[in-house]
Amino acid sequence: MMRNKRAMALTAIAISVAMGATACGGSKGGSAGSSSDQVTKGGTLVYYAPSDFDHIDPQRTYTTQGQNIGREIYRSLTGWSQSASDPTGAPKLVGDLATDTGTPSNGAKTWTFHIRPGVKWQDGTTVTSQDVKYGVERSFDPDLSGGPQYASQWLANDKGYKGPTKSGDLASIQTPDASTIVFQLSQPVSDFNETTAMETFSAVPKAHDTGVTYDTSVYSDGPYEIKSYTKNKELILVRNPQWTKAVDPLRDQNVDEIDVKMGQDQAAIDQLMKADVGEAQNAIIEDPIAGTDLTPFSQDPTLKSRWHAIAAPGTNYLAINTTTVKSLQVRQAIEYAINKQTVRGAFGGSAYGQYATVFLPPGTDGRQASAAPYGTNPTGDVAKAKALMQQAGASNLTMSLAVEATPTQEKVADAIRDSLAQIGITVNIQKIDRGSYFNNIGNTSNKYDLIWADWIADWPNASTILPPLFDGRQIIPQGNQVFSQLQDKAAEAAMDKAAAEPDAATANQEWGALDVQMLQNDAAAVPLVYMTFNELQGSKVGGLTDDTVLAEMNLAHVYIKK
Amino acid sequence: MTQQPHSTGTTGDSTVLEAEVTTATADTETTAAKEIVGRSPARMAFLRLRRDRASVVALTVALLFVLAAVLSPVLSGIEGWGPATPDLHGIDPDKGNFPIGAFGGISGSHWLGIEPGTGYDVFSRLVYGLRTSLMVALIAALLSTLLGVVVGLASGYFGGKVDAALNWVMNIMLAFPQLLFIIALTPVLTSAFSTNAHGGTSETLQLGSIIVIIALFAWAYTARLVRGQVLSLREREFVDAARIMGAGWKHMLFKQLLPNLWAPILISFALAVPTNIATEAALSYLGVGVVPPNPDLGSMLDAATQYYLYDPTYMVVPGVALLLVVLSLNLLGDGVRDALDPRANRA
Repeated sequence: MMRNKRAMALTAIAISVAMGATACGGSKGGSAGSSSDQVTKGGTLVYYAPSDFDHIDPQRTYTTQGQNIGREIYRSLTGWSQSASDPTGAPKLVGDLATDTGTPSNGAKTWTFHIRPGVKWQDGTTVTSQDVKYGVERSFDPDLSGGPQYASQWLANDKGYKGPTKSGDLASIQTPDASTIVFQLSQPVSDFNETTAMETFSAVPKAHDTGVTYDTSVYSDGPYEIKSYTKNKELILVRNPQWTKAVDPLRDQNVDEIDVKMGQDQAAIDQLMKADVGEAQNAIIEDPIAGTDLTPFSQDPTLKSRWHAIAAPGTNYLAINTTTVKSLQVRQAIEYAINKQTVRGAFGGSAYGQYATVFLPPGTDGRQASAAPYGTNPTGDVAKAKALMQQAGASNLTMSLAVEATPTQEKVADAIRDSLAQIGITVNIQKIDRGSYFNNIGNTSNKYDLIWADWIADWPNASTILPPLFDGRQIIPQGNQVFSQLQDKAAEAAMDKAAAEPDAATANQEWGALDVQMLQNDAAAVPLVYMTFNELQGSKVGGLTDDTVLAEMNLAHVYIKK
Repeated sequence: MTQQPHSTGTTGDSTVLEAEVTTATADTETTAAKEIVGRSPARMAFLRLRRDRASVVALTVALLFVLAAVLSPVLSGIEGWGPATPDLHGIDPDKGNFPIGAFGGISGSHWLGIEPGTGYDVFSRLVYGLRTSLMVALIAALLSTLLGVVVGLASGYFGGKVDAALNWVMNIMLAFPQLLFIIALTPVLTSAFSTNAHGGTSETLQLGSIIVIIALFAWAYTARLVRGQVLSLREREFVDAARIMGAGWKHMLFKQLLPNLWAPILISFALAVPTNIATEAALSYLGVGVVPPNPDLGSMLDAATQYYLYDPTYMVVPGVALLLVVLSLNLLGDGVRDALDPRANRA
């Protein structure tokens, strides 16, 4: 669930699947955002966060929380629109900074967008196509790591390009005039306009770019601008006076101020939200409820009307570093030995989600639902694990395990440690500050043996899940996503084949088979639990929509009830 | 012990010492007097201690805890659970790994319940945790007392520049923001000596560094105390007498001064132990002490803070244990002080 979402490009399939999931899931407990309430202007929305964002720099953020708050400050070319009157409805792709969702040509290898006239920066200057180009170019800068790699993956002739400050101009992004931007891609990408909904494709004004410190001085062309930002403490957003509703199809500007208060323990935040008095009535959380609180809270009828369970597919997993745990048999033994029951218990129990048997989460087309390469028993199979360890000739191994330094994750780490103790593996738990967790584990020189992570694919298609996490060609020293550092040529070939497959059904089948095959042949990650996204809101907050794309409560229409 | 009215010095120790207590020593023989000089002050102190009811209770409680700590493997063997053996049938993974049953899962097989989250046995972790705490506290107290006595003796006896320099060091140690420094230093120390490529530190190393760190910040108190005593003692006649007879500094320090300092040293040691237990627990609570799954009272309390709303028993058990052990040792320390130094006013 969590905070750590790795947003993916979306296609029309996403919409249908997301709709289906929402409809059959019936997940929305409350009607706090129902249209019967009168939308009011003013007030301060409080946002309790246990830690700071990974980044809010549009080219660097890659978590649900960072992207969600970022959308209130800046706008990307396209965006996902949700109506306040239908809070659980599926998000729809529309032009945001662009007038429409773009025009493909040259067999979808060239994409043209026109900038919406009248969109202004917070100083009143007009947002131009050059600003967008500059923003996208920033994502190539190795110093500005952390964000998605789609631009560098798809843009043509970008080899060796290191961002605008180091390499100057990127020729494959053209700006014939101030309101037109053209992307030249190296391959046909029919859903490129869904990739442009990602924050990477937001504009950044060159004059106000402060490089690595841009996080605290992000320039606004959205409804809110930064008033103050004290890292790890507080971020205050206030109305951007230059923003007008007329040129923004996605967002409203109802509240006066958004106040993100960081650093309280999640359990303390949970109690504030539960009590729902004073400031907490105007509050939201966008982080998972603590594992100790999840079951009691989910059974509390008084919280039902303020409860959001967002239907977005995601997998919570344990990556095994294949460069340090080289023996396949040891990795397979780990797959068998992990007790998913206590792991899920640490996350809060059955309210958290279902046990994972394969990597692809339910709702992904082609997923082999009945396959379970390491059995369906959530407590694992210790006998088999021990046999594999014996075959590998391995005993008394020691491994490091990276988790976030939160009480919930520490308990998850305990469960993993105790599971592996049964087969003679001593686990040393490395607790990493939550705000910098993904920066830390994305640095390949840290060499953790076992790494907790999760992945939320907005588009429940395996092509946005398996390659980013297991394609060895995508390993980079900083901002790495292939935590297992797997190098499997056969799997890479299979990924290329499935990606090139024109028939969607066949491609999905291939992905599903590859998922199971990689689990068996590589054992590079232990799928732990398929996540449910449980969040709480204060009783006076209205207009929240359950964004199944982002797996968060969308703030686009949020208001405070009088 | 019953009070013996009178006796000669040739019978058992107790009677000799009783005599010392109840009657004047004027009529005792020279041989017996020698014996009395060597042992009777301790005996007297012990008798005074025995008469103090609070001290007796404190001693009993403290002894029980020490016994439990020493016998922790035996006790947890009798109960049937190790300190890091999860009982996965005792917790409910569907409901957040909380113990099944009332009062934190207290039952015949888990005498003090089950640790939420992990399913470890609380009793077993408690006795093993006591062992860790007491071991760390005792060794650290020994180290700090030893260092404190040596520095205090040297500082007080030699005076002059030696005293100035040592006093300067002591003042720095006393003025140091200890806890902050310890929190910062411990991870550095453990990682500096860690040889494990997979991010681990051995338990010995963890405990060793905690002991060293606690001792490092505690010796100055003892040193100050000893120095003060030495300053007053060295002006006494018997010291002058020894000096006139040409005694060397070693003789002066260890034969003349030290024997007269046992009382304050013992008192400071007795009071250092409970302080150290509390410090060690605080460090573990703050996450820089003993690392789970190694059992420890402080880290148990730390873990309990996440569960106190839903499983208060788990917080009460280590909390009460810590309270009792520190309180009993403190009371005992007070008792020892009163017994050794009856003229001192009880604050």
